[in-house]
Amino acid sequence: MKTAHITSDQQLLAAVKNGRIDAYTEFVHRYEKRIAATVIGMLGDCPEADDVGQETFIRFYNSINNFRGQSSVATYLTRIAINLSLNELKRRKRHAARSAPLSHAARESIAPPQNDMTDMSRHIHRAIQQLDAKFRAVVVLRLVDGYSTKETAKILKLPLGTVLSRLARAQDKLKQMLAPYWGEDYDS
Amino acid sequence: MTRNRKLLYRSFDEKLNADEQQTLTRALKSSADLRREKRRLGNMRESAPLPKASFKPLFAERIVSAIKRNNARAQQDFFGALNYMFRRFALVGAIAVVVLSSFTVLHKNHATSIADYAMTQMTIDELVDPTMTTSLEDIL
Repeated sequence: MKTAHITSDQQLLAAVKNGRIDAYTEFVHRYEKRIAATVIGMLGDCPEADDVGQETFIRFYNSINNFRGQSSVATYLTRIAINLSLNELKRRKRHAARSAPLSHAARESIAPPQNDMTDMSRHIHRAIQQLDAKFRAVVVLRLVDGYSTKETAKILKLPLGTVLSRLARAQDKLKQMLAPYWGEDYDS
Repeated sequence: MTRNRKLLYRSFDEKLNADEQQTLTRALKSSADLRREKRRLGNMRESAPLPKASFKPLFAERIVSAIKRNNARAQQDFFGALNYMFRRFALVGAIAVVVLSSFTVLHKNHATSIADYAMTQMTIDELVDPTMTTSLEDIL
């Protein structure tokens, strides 16, 4: 059966709950870009980002009957994506602790290499990759994904004040990391 | 971080109250550093979004295939577990029957199915109770 006539998330999810797996393809298409921005923002454009993205949607599918619609689908999915990304960052940290620290070249390779990014955008995303996980999550949700500070607090289950202070500290760190790249263009 | 800088950072994410806004406006007017900081922050925030972020091609299709594979595996696992359990019980039962039959054959020297299950065999006389037969005749 085709899903072209289905418009709302609720209808799509009801179809999926009734065993229509094809409706889930449509659902994934709908949220793929948003989740990609979150996961790639957190992890960089690397194979693990694709794995975490897939795992996000598979976990949502497995818990679809528990989704009561109290928060929006995007918020729910983003929360799963952020948690899985944080787990991946912990795994990386453990791995890095066991093996040699990442070389500069290796670090460069996990930075977002999108060809259409401006230089400043590329520098910013490299700098974001160097932030601690707790600061990175706030920056990605607020600055990369464009969630409001309240939504960011809700997704991360943090008090609003904590989100605001982490955001300020993270931006301050980013600004310091980006200091060599600020040219006259950005100051004028 | 100075108070004015804190206000500047906060101004990007929340609405300042009238006093705070006035303080920030005054500070921006008088400080070239703060104005530069504001521009840098603004540029940084504008450059942060990833509008073209995407996963590898056929992302949705790969997810649906993975879900189908997981479902098939889960179903196989269920029937596999059932089959395994049944085989275990069947094996234990078969062994018990063989042991019991062997024991009966060796010790009682006969191998009827009734003996296998250790039941006493009734004779025809025991089966047809004489008292019952008499009373039946009386009735008839």
